[in-house]
Amino acid sequence: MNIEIIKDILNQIKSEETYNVDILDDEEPQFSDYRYNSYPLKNDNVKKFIHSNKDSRICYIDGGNIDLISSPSFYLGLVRVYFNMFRNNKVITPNVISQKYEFYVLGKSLGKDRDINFTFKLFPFVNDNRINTNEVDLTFDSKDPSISNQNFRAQLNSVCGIARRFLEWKVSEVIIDEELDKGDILVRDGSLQTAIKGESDFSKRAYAAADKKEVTFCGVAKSSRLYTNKGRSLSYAIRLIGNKSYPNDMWYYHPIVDINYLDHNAEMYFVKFHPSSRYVFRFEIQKNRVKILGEEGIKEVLGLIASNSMDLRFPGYPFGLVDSDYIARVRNDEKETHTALFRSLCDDEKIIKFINENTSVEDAHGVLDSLQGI
Amino acid sequence: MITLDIVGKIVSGDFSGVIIRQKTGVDLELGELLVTREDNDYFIMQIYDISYGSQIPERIRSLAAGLKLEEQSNLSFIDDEISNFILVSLKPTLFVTPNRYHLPKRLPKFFSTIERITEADLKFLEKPNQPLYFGKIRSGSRVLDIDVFLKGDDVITHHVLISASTGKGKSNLVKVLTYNLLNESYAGLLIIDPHDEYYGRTKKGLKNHPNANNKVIYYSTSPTPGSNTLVLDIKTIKPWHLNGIVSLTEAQLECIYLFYNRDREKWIENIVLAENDDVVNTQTLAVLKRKFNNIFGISSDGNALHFRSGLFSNNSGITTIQNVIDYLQNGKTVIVDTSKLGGEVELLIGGIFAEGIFSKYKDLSSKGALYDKPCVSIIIEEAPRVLGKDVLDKGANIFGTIAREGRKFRVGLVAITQLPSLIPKEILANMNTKIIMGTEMSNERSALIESSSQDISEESRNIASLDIGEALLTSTFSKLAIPLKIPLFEDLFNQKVPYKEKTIPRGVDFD
Repeated sequence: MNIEIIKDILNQIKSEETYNVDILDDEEPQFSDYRYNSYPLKNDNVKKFIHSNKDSRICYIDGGNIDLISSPSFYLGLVRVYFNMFRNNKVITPNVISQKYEFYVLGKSLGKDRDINFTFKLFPFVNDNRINTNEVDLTFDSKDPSISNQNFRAQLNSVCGIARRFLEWKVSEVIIDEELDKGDILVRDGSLQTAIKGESDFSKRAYAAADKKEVTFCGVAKSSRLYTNKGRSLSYAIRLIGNKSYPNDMWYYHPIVDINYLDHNAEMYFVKFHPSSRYVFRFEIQKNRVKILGEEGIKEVLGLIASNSMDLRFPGYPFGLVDSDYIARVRNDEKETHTALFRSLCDDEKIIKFINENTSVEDAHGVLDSLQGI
Repeated sequence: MITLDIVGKIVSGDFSGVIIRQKTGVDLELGELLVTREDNDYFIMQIYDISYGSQIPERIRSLAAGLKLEEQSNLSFIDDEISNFILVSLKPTLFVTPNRYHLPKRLPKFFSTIERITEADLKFLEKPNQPLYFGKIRSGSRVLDIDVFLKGDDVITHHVLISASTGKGKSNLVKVLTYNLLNESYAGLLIIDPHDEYYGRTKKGLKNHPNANNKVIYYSTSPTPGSNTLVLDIKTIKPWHLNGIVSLTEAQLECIYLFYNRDREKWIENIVLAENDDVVNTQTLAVLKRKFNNIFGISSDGNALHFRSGLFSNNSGITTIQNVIDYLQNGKTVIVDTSKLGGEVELLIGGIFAEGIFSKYKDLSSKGALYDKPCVSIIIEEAPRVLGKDVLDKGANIFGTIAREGRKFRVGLVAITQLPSLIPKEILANMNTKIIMGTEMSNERSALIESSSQDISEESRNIASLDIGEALLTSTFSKLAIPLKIPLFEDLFNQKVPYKEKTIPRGVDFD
């Protein structure tokens, strides 16, 4: 066996500078983008907060999507966006709008000069005039860096993810307009950073709605790929600091970075929402709102979300996001149902042949998977 | 505004069982009756199983329990009412339309709302002619104000089995049944009472019924003032009365019939007095004398007979058997106190009377006069003593004969037992009405379930959990197995209005 080799690996890990349970000298968050100015990591930046019993509503929103029929030039997907609302930690139902929005996403590729563009169209399950996506251009360059890496063009199925992001912002805007009031909170799954062409058009409208009604717009990211300048995970480093200062309490870390980037209109925090949680989450609040709320207001918001993070299934993570993920997630059995429905309505041999021949270009992976019993 | 008592919604299932999710805050019980409505029609369903359901994976639930048990934690399930719930299994038992009711042949609609049953949902049940009262309809532990009746003469002549563990209320049930039968004239009752509990010697009993003076006849070896002394003249006893009750060898039987054929009604007396007999082995004769001494309490000292107890005599009780037969065929209730008798003698006495009435009704049948008389029911406790496989294997007795043939001659048994599994299947199947009370032993429940008139295969847990006074009534003469609550016998006397007048004219009818 490789016992000696594994021992060598462990020794290697132990010998590294990063094998340390304290912050390192001059350690600070690392952002390569010049629009992000980081602050050195300091114990003093850890602050304790407590649960809040304020009577505000908190709304959590998440989306899910799945490929139904996928090929390089023809694509059909399904997007679902769902939100829930709590007051005093009890589920409440919205007064005006539906909690669930579902769309088929029909995508296709278009040749343009020497390049390939992707375009998509949304087909809502239920028509709702408030969810209008025609206001933005839904055509993308397949080599747009926001959806591809620099060497390879994106795949056509990325349009479904794009549609989902747009719809999450759009539905957020509608929720704020129709359901929320001053002092209420909307929490989305993920950061507040927009990345895709046209996405900021949606986020700006959502923020404008939040500003208008004095709603706090924020996001909780389950994962963070941020680092410190010493090469450690920023989340890991901050957790070391925070738990050292307040091992048996809820705490947040701030400031981390000054963001001067229009597509990332946020103030960044790292938060531990439950004393016994193993997780520290990246948490962002719309920048303008931070100034209005002040430190006590921020603690109030965090305290309210923490009150909703006491579910036994995932202590320290807002239950509203657990629930919205559960409902929004599109499962494989649903995929089979929708695909079967779509194919059963293909009553023309020509369309069947078109779909089969297009999808056969990509389904060789599936053949190999089936040989492995996957 | 009508407030519906909604308790759940159908979420899955098939014809063998419909699964509903129980509404939070509602406590449903095994055996409860529920309804689901479709326009003017509705299904009646009964709960046969209850289980936990959760959308939370098992490992998370285990972890959560651990956190709660082992640590001081403010964690909980935020949407507890949504994620963790109770699943209830129901058996569709009846489909009711405005015009008729019948066994369901289809399922209720998926996702239908389920409500608790109300008295109004059972208003279609009617009181039949010649009613036999069993108690009130029970929904779980809740008692509905609906009296349960079946058509008495059919039920009685097709035999009744009452089964229960000790202390579940068998005696109370028999008291209630017989007390209410005293209101009717369609049946005569012979109660072999090994505990002297039905007449009410020292407390309330059948003697306290308003019709008791005319209808209740009490025989006892130590009678109360005005009642009858239980005494039988040995001349009225026939050799076949011993069949299947007294253990006899072939030689002993031959001896008995030899004496009977020769001496007729003096056969017992002559066996006891015989010194020697030319054709009978002396040893056989000696054993018979000993047995008769044990059974009849009869012995001799030379030429004189001695009777150890007052039960048998050679100069009184000559009309006892005939009197009992006459009472029964006139629709009276005859209680025979056998509490001071040994088990074998008790069965012998019961057997003598049973044989007498059975022979009489056979005779009436042959003369075409059977339906001029009330039907007769014989109540026998610890029935396996005469109907058990072991007993019947050794030879037929009158109770086994009645169980098999009594229906044709309108003589039925009410067999009471804790151990129905000891009774042969063909006899259990002949017991067309079963009143099943709490029975913990699973093999006893199986014997009952397998021989019931309705499919109660899912009722095993229900039967095990029946409390005192609760019962399940299955009958060929009912379309459904009916959960019952038997009233307390003593409570019958607390009713200000005589019971019969108070009874709401509703019940479970025949069809």
